[in-house]
Amino acid sequence: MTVKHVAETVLGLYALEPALVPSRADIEAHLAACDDCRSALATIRTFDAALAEVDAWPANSTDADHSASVEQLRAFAARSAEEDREALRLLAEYEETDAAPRFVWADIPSKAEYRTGGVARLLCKRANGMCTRKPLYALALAEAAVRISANLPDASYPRATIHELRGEAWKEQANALVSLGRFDEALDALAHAEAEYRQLPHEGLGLVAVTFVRATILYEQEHLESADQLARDSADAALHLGSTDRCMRALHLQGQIRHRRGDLLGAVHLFERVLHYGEGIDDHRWIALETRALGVCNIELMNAAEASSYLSTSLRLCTGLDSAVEVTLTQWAIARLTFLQGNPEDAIRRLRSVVGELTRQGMLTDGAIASVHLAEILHAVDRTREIPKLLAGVVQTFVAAGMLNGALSALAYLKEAATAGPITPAMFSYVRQFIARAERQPALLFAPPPKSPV
Amino acid sequence: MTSLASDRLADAGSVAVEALANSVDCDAAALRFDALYAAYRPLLRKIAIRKFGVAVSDAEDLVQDVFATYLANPSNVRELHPYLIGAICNASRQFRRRNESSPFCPSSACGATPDDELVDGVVRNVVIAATLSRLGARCRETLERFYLNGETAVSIAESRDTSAGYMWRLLNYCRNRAQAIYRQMSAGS
Repeated sequence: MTVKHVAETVLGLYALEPALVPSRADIEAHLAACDDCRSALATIRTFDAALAEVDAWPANSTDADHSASVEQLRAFAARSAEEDREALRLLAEYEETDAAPRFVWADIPSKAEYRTGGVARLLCKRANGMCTRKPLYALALAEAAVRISANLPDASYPRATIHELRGEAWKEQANALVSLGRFDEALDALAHAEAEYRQLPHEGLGLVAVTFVRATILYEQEHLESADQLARDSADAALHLGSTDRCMRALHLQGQIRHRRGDLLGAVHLFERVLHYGEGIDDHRWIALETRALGVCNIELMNAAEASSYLSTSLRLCTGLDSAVEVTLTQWAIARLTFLQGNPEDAIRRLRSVVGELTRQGMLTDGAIASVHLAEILHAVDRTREIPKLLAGVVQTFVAAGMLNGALSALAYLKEAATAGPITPAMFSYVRQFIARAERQPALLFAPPPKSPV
Repeated sequence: MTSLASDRLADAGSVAVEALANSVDCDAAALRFDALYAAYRPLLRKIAIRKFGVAVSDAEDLVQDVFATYLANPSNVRELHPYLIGAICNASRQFRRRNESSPFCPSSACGATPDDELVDGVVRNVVIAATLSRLGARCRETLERFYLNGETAVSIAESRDTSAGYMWRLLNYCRNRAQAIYRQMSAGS
C-alpha cells in the first residue's frame, strides 16, 4: 500500500503558522505516524531557523557601512594585483644577480613610476631570494623597498596595513645584513621592522619573522640560551598562525643550537620532528636537510649504522634535487662517517675531494672547515706532518680570494700547533667553530682557546 | 579536521562567488577576494564573537582588519585557513586588551580552532547567503523582513496593501523557492 504524504507546500505553511493549514488535526495525526513527513518538517524548520541568522544574509543587504568598507577591500585586492603585474614588468631587467650594478645606478626609488606597493613587494621578494646568492644585491633591493614603502602615503593602504609593507622591507634589509655578517645593523633594521609591525591592527607573520631573525643573530653570536628562547617563541607564534614551514625553520634552528651546545640527543629529537614534517608533506628539501643533520649528529654520537642510513637517504635526495652544493655537503658528512667506520685512508681521500669541490663552488669557509676535519683525521692516523701543508693551501686560497678575516689567524694557530705540538681534538673543534663564525663576522678577532686544566 | 573544514569553506565560498560573478563584472583578484570573503567572513566573525566575546558590532571591523593585513602581502601566507584563524584570534585578543581592564585570555594558544558544529553552521550560512542573492528581489525582501527583521506577516501585508493570507502564501512560496535553490547549491558544493 502506498502511503500518501503531506504535500511540501502544506508542510511549509504548517511550519510558518499551523493555524493556516486547513484540517490541521488530520495533518498532526499524520505527522505523529509518519517518519518521512516529520523529517521533512524538521528540515523546513531548520532552514527557517537558519534564515533568522544574520550571517545567512548577504552582507550588503544589512549594512551600508559594512558594504562600503568591503568594497574598499575588494578594490584594494584588485589594485594590488594590478600593481604586482606592473611591478613584474618594471623590474624585469633587474631579475638576475648580474643586474646589481645597473639596479644601484638606476636609483629607482627616486622615480615616480616605481613608487608603488607592487614594486616594494617585488623588491622584498627578490631580496629574500637573493640573500644567500648575492647578499650585497639583496641589501640594495631591500633598501630600495624601504625607501619606496616609506614614501607611500599612509592612506594608500586600508586599515593601517601600509605598516605590513614597511615592516617587510625593513625585515628583508635585516635578512640581507645578517647574510653579510653586519649584525648590529641587522638588529637596528629589525627594530624598525618591529616598530612597523606593531602598528598593524593585530600581530601577524611579520613579528614571527623578526623573532626568528633575531634568534639567528644571537645563535651566530654564540648567545645560545637567548637564541633558543627566541627560536621557541618564533616556532610557537608561527604555528599559531598556521605557518608550519616557518615553525619548522625555527625548530631546525633550535636543533642547530642544541648541536652547537653539544646536546646531541636534544638536537636529534628536534631534527627528527622536522624530518617527520618533511616526510608528511613529501618535501625532498626538508628530508634531505634533516637526514643530513641527523647523520652528522649520529656520527658525533658514534652511531655509525644510523648515520649511514640517514646519510644515504640525504645523498639520494640531494642528487635528485640537482644541487651540487647540497650533494657536496652530504658527501662531506659521509667522509667523516667513513673514518668512524674505521677506513681512515678512504675518509682522507673523500675529504680531499670534498675540500676541492667546496673550493671550486666558491664555498671557501666550508672548504676551510672541511680541511680542519681532514687535518684532525691526519693527526689521528699519525700523519700530523701533512697538516701544515694542507692548512697553508687553505690560507693561500683565502688570501687569493681576499678573505682576510680572523679565520686566517685561526688556521695559522692550528698550523703552528701541528708543527710544535701538542695538538688536541678540542683545538680542532674550537678552530672549526671560529672559522664558521668569522665568515658571518669578518671583524671577529681570533684568540687561542683557553688551556684545559691539568 | 582543519583541511576538511578549509575545503568545505572554499567550496561554499566558490558557490557564493559564482552567484556574485554572474551579475558583476570584475577581474580575477576581486573575484578571488569575493570567494575568500564569502567563505571566511562568517567563520572569523563567529570565532571573534563566540570564542573571544567580542561584540557583534566590533567583530566586523576585526574581520576586515584581518583581511586587509592579509591583502597587504598575500604571498607571505602559504596556508591561508589556519593563518586567518590565528590572525582573528590575535586581533580579538588585541582588541580585548585595548578595550577592557580585564582582558579575556583563553587558556590555549588559540582555542579557536573551530569545531565541526561551528564549521557546519558557517558552511550552511554561506550557501544560504548565496541562495538568497539568487532569489528575486521581491522574495528576498519579503523573507528578510519576516525572518531577519522579525516583522509579522500582517505588518508586511499592510505595508504592501495586501491581505495577510496572501502574505503567508507568498512567504511560503519564497521560502520553498529558496530551499529548492539551497538544495541545488548544496549538491553542487
